[in-house]
Amino acid sequence: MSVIVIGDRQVGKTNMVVALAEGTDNLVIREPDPQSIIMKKYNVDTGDIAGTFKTQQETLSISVNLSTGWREFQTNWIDTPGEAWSNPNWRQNNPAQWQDIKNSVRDSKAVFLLMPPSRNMINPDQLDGGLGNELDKQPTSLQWQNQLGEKLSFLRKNAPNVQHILISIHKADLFCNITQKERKWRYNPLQNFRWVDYNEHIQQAHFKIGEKIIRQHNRQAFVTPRFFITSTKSPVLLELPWIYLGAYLAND
Amino acid sequence: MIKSPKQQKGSEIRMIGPRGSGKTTYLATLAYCPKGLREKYPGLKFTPYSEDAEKLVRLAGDLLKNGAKLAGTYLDKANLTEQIQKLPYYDFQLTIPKTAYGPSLNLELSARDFPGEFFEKIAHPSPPAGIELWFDDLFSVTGWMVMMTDWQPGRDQQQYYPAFKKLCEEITNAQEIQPALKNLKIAVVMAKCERGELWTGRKDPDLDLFQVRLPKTYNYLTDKFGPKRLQFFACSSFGVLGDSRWSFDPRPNRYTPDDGSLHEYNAFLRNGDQWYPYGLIPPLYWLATGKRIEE
Repeated sequence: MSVIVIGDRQVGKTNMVVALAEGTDNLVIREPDPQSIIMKKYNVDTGDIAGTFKTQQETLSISVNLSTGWREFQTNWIDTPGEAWSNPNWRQNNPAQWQDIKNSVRDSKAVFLLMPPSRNMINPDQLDGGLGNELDKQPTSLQWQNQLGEKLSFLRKNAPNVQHILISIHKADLFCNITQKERKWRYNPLQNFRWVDYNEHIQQAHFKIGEKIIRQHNRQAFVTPRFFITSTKSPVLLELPWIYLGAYLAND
Repeated sequence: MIKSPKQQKGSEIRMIGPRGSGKTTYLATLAYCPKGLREKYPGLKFTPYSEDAEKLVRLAGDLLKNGAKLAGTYLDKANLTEQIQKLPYYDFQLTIPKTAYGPSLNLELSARDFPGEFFEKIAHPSPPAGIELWFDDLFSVTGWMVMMTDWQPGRDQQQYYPAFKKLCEEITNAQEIQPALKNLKIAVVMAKCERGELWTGRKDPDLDLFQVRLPKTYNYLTDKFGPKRLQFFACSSFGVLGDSRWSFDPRPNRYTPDDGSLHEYNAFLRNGDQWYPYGLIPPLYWLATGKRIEE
């Protein structure tokens, strides 16, 4: 059962799996050893998370805390190079790799699309030295819309049988009050967590600029995306898409 | 002295119907036996006998009750032979309490839930290679539950009627070799009847639902099969928010987001604490015993 993570360069795909490896209240990566995941992803010279330059696959055993108890499932996690998504020249120059990625998307059970916040979403007061001068590198609203539209169009064409599409705007700490979000949406397996309510809230609060594109996609596709916001600074928000997915994969 | 339920020997059932018709949701809801269902049938109990049947209980608890919907199963057209071998068997016992229609009963059932695309491909002029094994499996049992919806009225002419016509031709051919098929019973179920326009017709599904909404299919089926072999039912896995005289609320217990998606395929349980499924037991009861009970 494969989960493929897609998204442009430097959106934080690898960063996310490293954060998950550190464990959250309701999700634990059992195998491989989480420390080995963390060490493998670090660039020893710079101390930063290393970029992904080619597709990497890893079989993960994950325990997730669901309403019916802790469940374990295995998944083949496929992390794709950001260049493949953000740079058309890369696709032309690496046709075999691009075809492999397309095949992996086609064969995966779930696709997790990570989006950056658009420039307009970001609250300058929350930059706190985070993005700093990098703000201009974030997409404009129009560019963001185009990115979303292209990815959804790609999925309709190349993954007609995928069962789950999750779309998350990453780096949520830059565009919303994550403490407030955590208070409202902290997952508790002992209480019903209404995924449909969370999805609707996130879609209306943070995906408004993509509304037309999303509606257009939903009219054509059998599988409609589920929306999230994530941040490596918030295990509460970070674990949500993986608990959601875990509820399916653990019961498959 | 309380009598033990009568044991009803095992029945194998195949559930077919187009994508999004609610086959797996039906099974998961039955397996979970929400409080609303147990209020209607005090003493109702679902006992899983297979690992897949146990999973049904968890699917309802982890997903349906938490406002998520079940993922559909795709027909793996490149690997149909392998897929039919791996398709789950939901083996379970359903303990049905004494009703006005009969004594308490332990129904032993084994169900397989076919991907919706199979039904959609039945009448296709060029079916995918390997599909014949699926028909072999379908004809190896004597109980079918066909779940349909009427969300898109064009389906009566374009999908349901041609599919049933093809199935009838195949039944006629197969009966020559497998005389047991003469005992085949087909429960045709109008699913998702919690919608307002269907809810009022649920008590008489033949005339108020099928004849009105799917007339071509209805007329064909009633012409081909007598009531001993085919019966019509209505069901709703989600039900309405309150359907007893003490808590009457006819609003569907269903939430459909306004996001451009087709409501037929994108509906969620609105309130897990007011979960009163309707009509789940009668079709199974009839398939297993030949007797009809009403809710």
